[in-house]
Amino acid sequence: MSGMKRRCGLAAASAVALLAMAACGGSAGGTSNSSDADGDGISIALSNGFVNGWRLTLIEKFEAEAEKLKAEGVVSDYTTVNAPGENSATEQATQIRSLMLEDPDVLMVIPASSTALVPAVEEACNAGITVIVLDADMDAPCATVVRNDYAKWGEESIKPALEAIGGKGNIVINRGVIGSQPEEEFHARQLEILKDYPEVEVAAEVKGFCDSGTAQKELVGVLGSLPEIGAVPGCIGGMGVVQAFQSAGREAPVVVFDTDGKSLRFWQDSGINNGSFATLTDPGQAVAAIYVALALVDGEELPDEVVLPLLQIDQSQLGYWLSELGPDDYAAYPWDRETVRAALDAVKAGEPAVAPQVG
Amino acid sequence: MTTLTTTPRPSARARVKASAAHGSPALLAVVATAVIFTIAVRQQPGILSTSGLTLVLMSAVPLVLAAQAQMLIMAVGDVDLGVGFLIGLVTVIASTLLTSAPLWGALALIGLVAAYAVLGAAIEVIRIPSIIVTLGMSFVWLGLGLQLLPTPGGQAPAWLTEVGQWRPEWAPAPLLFIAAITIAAWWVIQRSRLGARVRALGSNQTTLRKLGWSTLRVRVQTYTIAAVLLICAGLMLAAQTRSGDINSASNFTLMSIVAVVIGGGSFAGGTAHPVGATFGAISLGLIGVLLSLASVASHLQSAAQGLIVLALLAGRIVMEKVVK
Repeated sequence: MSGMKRRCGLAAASAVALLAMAACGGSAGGTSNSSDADGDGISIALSNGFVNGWRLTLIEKFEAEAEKLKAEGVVSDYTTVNAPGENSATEQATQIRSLMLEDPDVLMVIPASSTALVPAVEEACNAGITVIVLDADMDAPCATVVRNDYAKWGEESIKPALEAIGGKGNIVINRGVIGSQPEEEFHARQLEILKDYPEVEVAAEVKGFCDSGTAQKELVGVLGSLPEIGAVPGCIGGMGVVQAFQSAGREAPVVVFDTDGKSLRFWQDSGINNGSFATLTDPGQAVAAIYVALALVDGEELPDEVVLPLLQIDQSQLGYWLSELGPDDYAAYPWDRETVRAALDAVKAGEPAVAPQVG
Repeated sequence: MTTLTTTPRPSARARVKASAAHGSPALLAVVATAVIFTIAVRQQPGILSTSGLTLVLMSAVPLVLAAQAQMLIMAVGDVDLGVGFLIGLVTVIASTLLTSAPLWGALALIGLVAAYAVLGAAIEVIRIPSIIVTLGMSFVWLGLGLQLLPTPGGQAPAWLTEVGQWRPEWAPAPLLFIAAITIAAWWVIQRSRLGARVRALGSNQTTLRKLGWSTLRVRVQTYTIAAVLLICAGLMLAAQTRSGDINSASNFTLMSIVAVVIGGGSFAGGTAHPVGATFGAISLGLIGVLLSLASVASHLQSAAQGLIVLALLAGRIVMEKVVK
């Protein structure tokens, strides 16, 4: 019994000693195995705010490209970490800070919040790390933002649908993640486009949250009270929208499908050919971001924001993507060194970046 | 040299039993922190520096404050399920009112303290279980937060962000905050009369009444101090994120309860171990750091975090069994 007491005492003493040692350690710490640009390749860490199918494709693409560059000796090491919890900025800030201890050359952040993570990002910049903010806007001038254009996405999510119904009729707008800043830009652009189509009537708005299942549930709730609907443009979820209409015994409207294999397969199998399409942000931007980071580490001056094109799939490209994608994969542009170079040159010249050739 | 002793010394066995019964719950949290910390340092020796410790302990500071507040409320036999959204609401107030109209912001924060005092009184007088009152209030905090700031953002006042950016050369700032908070809480609980009354309210109300103390007054005082601690937690979080988000601390509700339980508190009330609660909160914070450092497959991190917490709680039960 007294033995146990001693053990506990020792453990407590060692805990105190450790903390004291740490506190007195001054700035003697720091890793010895960190590599830098002019050494043998750069190290990249990716911090992701939360996980869904689209993000998994993004991480997969990132890791595949990093692995390839590692074999070439360009990248010495890479890590991917997802913050636990549901898109929690506080957890991700902790995670970014522990990644900073590993002293990577490049830190990529897919932020859970565009505001709350600014201090963590600035700390990383101050520690001499090249920081790339991915798939979000952020007001942190020390970081380079790589993202898609959300206003353009708003346009692409509605314009082809309005054209497909001949510019007149009733539509239901399928809103995205309401409350997020990209959604605000997305929706504002949609409303602008709608002004050009005076004969289009917005019969309802549903909160689909860019999720097929949610869109279906929301639509089933209101569909009974709606007139004939020609199109349900908005933030993806086309599969759920079609299923909602079919279960109500109504004809499928023009919808916006997700760009994953499962949705595209559904699109083909259901034989929908009314001008429906798929459009979504490009998970391949993570690969592009690697090359943006390499350019930055090489000392190239780049604009604060690199806006890359969206991914769009129409009926004619359906066959190609179906042959490329597994059920859970999202379509992504095949970015590589040359295409990113061309995109960067375009962005520097103030022109829109061009996507790599598909198919 | 005489073999006579006026009072017979208790046997070694009895002493261990007594010290274990009083100190061992807090000791578990200390040991857990030491173990997790040691493993983390092995993974990443860079932690052992002022900047390294600042990085890994920063996020624990608001949680330590929240855990002390929860500890007080659990000591009187209650539980607060509104902690997370209250802290979120404080970050929202800090990044909106406190910047644009400091006076109104300060008044709003004082209003929150007053609301907690009323909560304490309601729980004592009307005898509604605290779990229901605080759960209900958590939705009120959520609603108020969304009303003030529907999407995350805002800007915390400059003096507050300076607190978050304070980095003394000679010691890690978070460690200083944590030490100060813990010493203050320890003093209140172990050394002040109020501390004794708080514990008595949780374990032995009859005696408290016989001694002529108003249980209402003690409970209101407990809730008031807890509210002040929670507001400090919210301000600290806003200082670190420089912005407000009603959802930023939603996991603090359960995390603070777990920290208190790891640190030796109990749902039955009557116990309060400020040092244990602090180490409980630190160990929870360090688990996240450790998992990132150990490159646990990302999709397993949440599960791994849960398993470690379960192991800690199981460790406490085993420890108590061994002692008895």
